[in-house]
Amino acid sequence: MHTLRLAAAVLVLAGGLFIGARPIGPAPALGAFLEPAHGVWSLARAAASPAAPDARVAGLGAPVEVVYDDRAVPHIFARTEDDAYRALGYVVARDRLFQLYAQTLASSGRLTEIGGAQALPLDREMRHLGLPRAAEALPARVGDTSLVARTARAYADGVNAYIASMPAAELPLELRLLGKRPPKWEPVDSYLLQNRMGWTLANIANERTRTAAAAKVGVAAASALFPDDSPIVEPIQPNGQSAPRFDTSPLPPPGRPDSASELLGAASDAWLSARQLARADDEDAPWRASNNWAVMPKRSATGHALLAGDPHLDLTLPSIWYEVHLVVPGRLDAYGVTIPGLPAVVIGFNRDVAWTFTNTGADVMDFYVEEVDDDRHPTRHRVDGTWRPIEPRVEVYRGPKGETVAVDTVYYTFRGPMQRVRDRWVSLRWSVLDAGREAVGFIEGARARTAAEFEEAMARSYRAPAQNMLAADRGGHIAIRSTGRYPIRAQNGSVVLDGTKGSNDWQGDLPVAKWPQAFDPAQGFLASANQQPMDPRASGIWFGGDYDPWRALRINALLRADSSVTVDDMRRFQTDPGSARAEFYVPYFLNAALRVAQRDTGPNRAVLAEARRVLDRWDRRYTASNTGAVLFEAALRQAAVETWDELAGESGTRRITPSSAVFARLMHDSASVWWDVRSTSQVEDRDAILASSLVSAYLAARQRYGAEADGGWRWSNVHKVNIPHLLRLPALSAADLSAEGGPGTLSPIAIGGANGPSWRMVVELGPTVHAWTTYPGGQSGNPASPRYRDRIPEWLAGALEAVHVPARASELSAAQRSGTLTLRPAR
Amino acid sequence: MLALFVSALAVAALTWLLGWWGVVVAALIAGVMLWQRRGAPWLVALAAVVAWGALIVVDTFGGRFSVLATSLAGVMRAPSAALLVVTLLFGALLAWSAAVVGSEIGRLARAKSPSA
Repeated sequence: MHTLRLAAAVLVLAGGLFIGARPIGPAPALGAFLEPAHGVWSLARAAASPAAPDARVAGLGAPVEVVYDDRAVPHIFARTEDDAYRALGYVVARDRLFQLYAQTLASSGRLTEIGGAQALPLDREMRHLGLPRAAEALPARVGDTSLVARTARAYADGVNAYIASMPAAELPLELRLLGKRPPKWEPVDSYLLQNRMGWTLANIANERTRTAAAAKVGVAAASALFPDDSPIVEPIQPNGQSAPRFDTSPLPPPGRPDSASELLGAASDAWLSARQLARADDEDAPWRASNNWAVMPKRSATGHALLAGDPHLDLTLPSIWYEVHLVVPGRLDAYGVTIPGLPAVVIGFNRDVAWTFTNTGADVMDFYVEEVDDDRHPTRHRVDGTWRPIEPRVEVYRGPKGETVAVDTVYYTFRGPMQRVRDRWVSLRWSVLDAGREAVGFIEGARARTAAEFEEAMARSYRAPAQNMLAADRGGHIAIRSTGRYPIRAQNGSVVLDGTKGSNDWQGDLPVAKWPQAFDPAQGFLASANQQPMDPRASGIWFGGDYDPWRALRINALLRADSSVTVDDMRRFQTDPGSARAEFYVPYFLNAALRVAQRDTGPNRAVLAEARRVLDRWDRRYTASNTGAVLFEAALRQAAVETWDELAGESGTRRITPSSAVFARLMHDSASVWWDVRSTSQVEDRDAILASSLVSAYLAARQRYGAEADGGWRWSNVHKVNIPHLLRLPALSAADLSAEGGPGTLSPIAIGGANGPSWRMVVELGPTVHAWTTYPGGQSGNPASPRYRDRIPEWLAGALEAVHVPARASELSAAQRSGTLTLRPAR
Repeated sequence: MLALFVSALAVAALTWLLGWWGVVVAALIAGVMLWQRRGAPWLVALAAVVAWGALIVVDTFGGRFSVLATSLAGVMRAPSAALLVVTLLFGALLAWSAAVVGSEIGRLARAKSPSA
């Protein structure tokens, strides 16, 4: 009995030690995970009480005081800018350490280290695009002593100081689940993140869709269906018109399929992972967006300049943004949001200037067919008769246990990375791979005293991805410039170029004076919503902006109609449920239903009348309680499917759908051949398609949601916001939330409800700066923290919170403080 | 009762200092010292439950424990109570088995000592 008991105990002990020390399958090692003093349960303690109030940071020149306010925003008071960025690294790491870790893995193409082989496509995308290589080469490009490198090192000092002194209880939950420790933060990690943002905001959709369309309906029709210039023009740089200009000319009919340009589509696709391709083809893709606008004192109720900004990005928990205030007396006083990992206040304001961005969507990716010396293992490529070297780079992908998951060789010409595309080597030239001084723009821009100074600071350093940079200042000036690098090309970048000719390379960059821009316009306001930056009639150059124009139309209409804009108006506009798209289309549906009802006596007549009644009653606003939006969205979608049947692929292939702006152009031509559905014997016109779509949509909605009067059609039941955790863990996500807004409104939600306004800010630039902000998440990355998702309710409601902007720590009262931290130089 | 209290204190202190290995070390020592006592390993296991339970109580002081437990339960796809039971059971099993081994070491040491 004694021996048996001993044997059992030894077995239990050995087993306990084994599962305590080693992970089994996806489960972490149980010992460190479960023990209550430092294990996962201690996160509850860490969530409630912040870390030690004192910490040492290597490289600090003097102590830095950090005061957390009642919204958990750290206000950093430092004596030098380098120290401020060191402290920024520290506080960001303290609140968002796992996010830093995960972003670095994603940006450097190392997700296989936590996700294994299933993450390989995402990693290959990053590495084949050359993003990690470009980040590693950045110090050499900008100089190791440059402001960029110095600031990145200071930031890394701060992150690493936190990691070194982190109490065991603060180890993030996700790292515990993965059984990982946070690695040392390197300056290159900041550069990697910057490059990844360049990829996030890259314009990839239009060229590949146009070439796919050309293979079905010919080049002329494809160019009209997927145009560079939008059929609805109300540009960012005011063109002197008081209303949008609609292209009402007929669309060219479908032509003979032309596959000659398919190489361009294939080249674009070659660099994209399946996930990116799915995102590019997503039905909601056009609704990815951002807005910004500013009004001059002459149009504001208080007589001060006002600025609003809401960049739309993927919504995640924790958020991509982290709110912070940096103060260096006499040098810097910037409040706003940083992206964890970037040593900069990206969007925000100081005491004189406020700034915010929308994506320009410039085409800065070109493809070149290369002639190489050896098709299997190329070492040189020919340009103008001269062989130039090709650099191979071996990419090794490691698994969670350090094992090799895959090994690739990526070849680089002087232009950029190469890929095999349809038995040819194609290289990619992309402005993001040459960029690097963007951080200087943010750092110097944050010191600007006027809107013009801000624009100049950004123009000196910022190149990619191009952004519509809006600024307003205390002197009442407003300005916008589509800042970025616009390469001068010998020919259109919408073809795959011959890489053997040097004349096809970029011939320089467009000078700043030619960029779309406006300073203190006569109309008294400026607005951008990713629309075309400049009227093509005036520029002749395509700067980007192939997003749908409806948001731009809406915000311009709102601003034009209000000559005395208040701060609350600015806030209200950000979540305005009105839709220029619905205003445009609904009359067409109503009139079509009326006309078809007069000539059609078929069985659907009663359904059509009822559908028309529901649509007619709708106020064309995407409010929570309305029931018309469900019908309208389904009808418009159905009408597009029926109309663009010429573009339909075989079952399982991707759908190619022209934008709703192009569809709007077609509305003016009621008898266009595009309306005819090829699979039917009769010839349909516009009214027939719109009426039948309305009937189909009504019947489908009734089947899915029940009778309209029963409440199932309420927009809040249908339109949902989903904010996933970075690891897509449902328990740490916020799902199935209701918010107002919809496709084409200023606050759309796209991509499964997980893409939308990621930050909202309104700034009033009076004698004293005032600002109101929010974002869908919270400051802390700890899911147990009360600050993990505390801002989501106010964000959903369209509310903003007034922020504190103390010039000195002492200006924050005890009631306004939630904690303090003193960072001291390491001994 | 004193033995239970002292053992629990030792487990808690060593867990705080050494992490989960603290349970094993504390239980081994307790086993060696209490080898003559009947049911000593069960007492040490109970001490581990008391000690880890007390440490979990400390974790609840900030008022965020239930949020954490709910999140964790969602992530692990198990009821939060089950996770707590697993935690305490894990500590108890380690303590019991280490205490049995400790008792045996104590018994052997006693048998080999000249005074035995």
